[in-house]
Amino acid sequence: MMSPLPTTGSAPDSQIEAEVVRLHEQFAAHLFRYAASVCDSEDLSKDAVQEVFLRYFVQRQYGREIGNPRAWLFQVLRNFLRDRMSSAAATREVAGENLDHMACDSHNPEALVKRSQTAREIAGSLSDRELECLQLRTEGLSYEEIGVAMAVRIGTVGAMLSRVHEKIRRRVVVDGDPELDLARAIFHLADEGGPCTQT
Amino acid sequence: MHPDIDVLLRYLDHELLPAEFPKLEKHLDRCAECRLEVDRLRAATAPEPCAAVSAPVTLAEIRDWSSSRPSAHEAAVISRMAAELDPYLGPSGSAAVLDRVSVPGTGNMLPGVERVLADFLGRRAVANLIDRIVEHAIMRP
Repeated sequence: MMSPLPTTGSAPDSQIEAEVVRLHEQFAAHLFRYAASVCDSEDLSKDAVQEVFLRYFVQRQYGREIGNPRAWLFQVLRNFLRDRMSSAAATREVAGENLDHMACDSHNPEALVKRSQTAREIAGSLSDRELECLQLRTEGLSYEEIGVAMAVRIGTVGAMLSRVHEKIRRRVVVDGDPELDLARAIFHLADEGGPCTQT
Repeated sequence: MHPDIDVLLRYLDHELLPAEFPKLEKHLDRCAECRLEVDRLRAATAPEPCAAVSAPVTLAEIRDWSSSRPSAHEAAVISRMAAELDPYLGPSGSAAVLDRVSVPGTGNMLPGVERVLADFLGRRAVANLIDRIVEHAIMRP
């Protein structure tokens, strides 16, 4: 049997709490702004920041040494946000505060489910580059900013978005489904913020 | 392979080693995802105050979590940690590692587990696995 590990253990809880407070004063604002830029939700951002400090406390309580707390906090925050956002997409959640931002939305839960399913089908018909371009556009980036982010010319950005429009438009025509609210929302979001019109 | 957040933060702080800088710049030239990440970090770390998160609220949550743990918590943690480690070390391996952790008092548990995992997993994989173990075996079993 292996010999027991040295029982140096962790620092007392009060000392770890003092560490947490010190790190909170230094980095909580930065972490919150980063979270908000990733997930665009103040509620989730606040939860995420509290979560990472709780995780820091727990790991320190169980003896783990964290050599670079700032980098660790950001890394854990990013992983947490990605997991939550993937989970939300998978379970078809729509944050209450984002409903107002969706064009032509419906408050019917069944419509929300169908919308999410349709969004996935549409996303599946786009190439990775087209989807990336559309996502950057829906985040509010200009054509020029998208061009910089994707290392392409502005003309290429316009051409990609035009192809995306056409693919979505073809889906609406083929399906003949008047309830494709999300398709109209994507048109609205990607089409220079113009009015939402059914094709 | 994308650089760690630590590298991006040091890049923004102008603290990269001379050999790291051209390598990162070359990666950023061709990786839109990392460029976006750098932009986010640059904006987030600007020296502006933010009232959205407060230390007393965070401390209160930590204390709530600590006080809500049931008695015999530590023995249960070791049992759950064994379940998390089994897929990687096998039942005998995880038992051998956890046998070395004294009960009561599991203050040396994570470093011990981390040392063993580091023998056959990369640094990033070990960190991710430790985070997972903490969440599933300790925080939210």
